Amino acid sequence: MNINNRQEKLIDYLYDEMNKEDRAAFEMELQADASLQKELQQMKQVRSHLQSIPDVDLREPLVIPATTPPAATHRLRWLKPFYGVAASIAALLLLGAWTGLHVEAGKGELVLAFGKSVHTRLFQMKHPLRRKSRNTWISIYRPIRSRLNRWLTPPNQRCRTGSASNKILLNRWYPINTWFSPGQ
Amino acid sequence: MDHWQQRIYNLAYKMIGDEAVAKDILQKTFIKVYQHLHKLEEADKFRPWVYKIAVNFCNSELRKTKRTESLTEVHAGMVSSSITSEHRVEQNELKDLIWQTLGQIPEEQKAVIIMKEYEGFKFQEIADILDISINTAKSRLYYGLRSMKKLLSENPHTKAYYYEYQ
Repeated sequence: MNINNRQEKLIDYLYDEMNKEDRAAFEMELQADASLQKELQQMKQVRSHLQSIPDVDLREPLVIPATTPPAATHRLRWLKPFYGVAASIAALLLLGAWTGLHVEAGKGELVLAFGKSVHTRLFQMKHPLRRKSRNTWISIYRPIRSRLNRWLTPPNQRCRTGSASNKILLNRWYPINTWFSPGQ
Repeated sequence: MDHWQQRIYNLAYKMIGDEAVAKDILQKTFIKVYQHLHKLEEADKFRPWVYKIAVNFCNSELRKTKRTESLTEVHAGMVSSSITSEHRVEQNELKDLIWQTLGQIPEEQKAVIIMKEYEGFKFQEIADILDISINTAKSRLYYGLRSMKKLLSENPHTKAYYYEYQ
């Protein structure tokens, strides 16, 4: 029996991982070999000492989530912090469209108005150059607002053609115009 | 799950010998288990898989710091304070001594001893967990037990247990 084979058999015998035939053969060897018997007894003694070490109690069991957390690896995950900002901007745009908000800027002035803005004579007199800039703005803004208004209007309430009809619609949809307009 | 926590905690504690570090290893092990549970294809491989994770954490912890001296300190705290008889004192001293001896043998031998003696793994399972051959597992166990026998037979308190076989 070579040394490695001897160790292997000794360990298998010690831990009872030997089949019946091998076990019987090893026991025969044991009877004939005093040093093997001694080694086996010493190993058994070490095992008995090792078994005297008790288990330790885990006093506070871990709190672990009941479900498996998914491996979140979505490609657009980095956009998540901006969702709130985007939603706020969208809400503001919708609110602006619904209230007919329009903004005029130019010549060092900023005008915010709901619905159709009407400039008083006094306003125009004070700033003769403003009218030009306002007309420029209106030429850009009104067609957009008109289309948006048409798009927001239910099909059965839409006017077929004509800006005059649209104006009526505008007043019906945005009665707030009449509250803030100083009168013409 | 409490059963697995208890087993892994014991494994880590016996490997490292420090309660706080054992808890840390337990936590890391189960976090990893939860993160990678979906990758486990066969349910009956759960046990060796969990132990493999825990043993890897223990090995990396042992590589970071040599904690042989802490084994003595920690285990000293495990001895019950309500010792009444002399026999009890002797028994506890013996346990301390064996605990210290276990801490003195090489880590790779200690891992096999703990898995075999306290966790009851088959050699094939130990080999799979530690990524070694069955023969290497048996050899490490053999030399581990022999090292323990040598240390215990040199100690005056335990010499008597081995004297009759010398």
